[in-house]
Amino acid sequence: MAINEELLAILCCPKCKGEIQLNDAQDGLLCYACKLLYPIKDDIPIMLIEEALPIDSPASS
Amino acid sequence: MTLFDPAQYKIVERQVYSMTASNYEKYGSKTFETYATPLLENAELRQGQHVLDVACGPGIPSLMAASLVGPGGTVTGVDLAPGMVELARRKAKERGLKNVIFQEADGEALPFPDESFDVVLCNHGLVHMTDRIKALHEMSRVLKKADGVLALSVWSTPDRALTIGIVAGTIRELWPAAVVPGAPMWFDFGLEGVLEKTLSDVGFQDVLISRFISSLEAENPEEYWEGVVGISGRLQMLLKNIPEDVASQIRLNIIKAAERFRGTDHKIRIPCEEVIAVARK
Repeated sequence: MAINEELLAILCCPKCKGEIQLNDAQDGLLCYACKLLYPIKDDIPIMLIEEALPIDSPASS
Repeated sequence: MTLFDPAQYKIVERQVYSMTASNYEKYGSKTFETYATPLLENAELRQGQHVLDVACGPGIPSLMAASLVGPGGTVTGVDLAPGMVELARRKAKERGLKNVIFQEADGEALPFPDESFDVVLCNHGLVHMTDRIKALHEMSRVLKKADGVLALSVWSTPDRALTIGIVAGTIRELWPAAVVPGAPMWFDFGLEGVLEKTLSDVGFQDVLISRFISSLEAENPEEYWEGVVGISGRLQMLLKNIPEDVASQIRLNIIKAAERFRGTDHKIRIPCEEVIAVARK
């Protein structure tokens, strides 16, 4: 999977508008402030609050 | 009485429009390019601009905008329905466009920082939002302060946006329960002054409104019917969930109504008015 770097640079968390980061597995975008993971499916980030997965701590990513 | 549930509405919206995405190419591509043209002309896109297309659907305005802003500019298309995003990406790839990207996002909670874009386009997308004011605030937020331009289109009233007005009127008559109070309706901004006031209330400035009439062409009323059902996931869902005899009566009445628009060349041409707004942040 290869998420477009330029795309990532312009994205933010749709909930808090804060920074997001690609997770280690590179299959999701993390917002540490909201403790949410936005999954990436077929190279398309799903930037929907309703579809985001809750994360317990940064370590669980 | 059924109560409107925005969260459920969005879930259904994602499903049904993913389901009908491919039909946009089959029935709607040319029509939607026609509808997107006045919007893009009013937006006056320039080379090098960064454009966001909210509720981009199968990417029709996005792809047209990508050519207009050129290689130095970018277009980002967002839509709730994954099927639409997938189709838009495939079309961009087929056309070899490198300056356009698509992703799943909600117009009411955009995943972009403040002041990210020069232009925000929304081609008949606002009528799909459950909280239109929230969506407009989001569009304003992501626009650059200096010269940020919003270009947005909505349908006119049912008697003028006849292509879909016929459908809505027939359903309202034969299955009134389909109208759920509080649910987004196609014509909510069609009346004179409504869109202008809404945009001004949200804080947009220099709001310019124009009305544009195009017509949907079909060989016969049946082709028109297949097209409107083909692209509307909501309509397909409704037809499946109501008694069969009512569904067939809706079809018959709509076909009969379309027949009135047969021209001397025997083709069906149904006029459709849209309202286009251009405003500054």
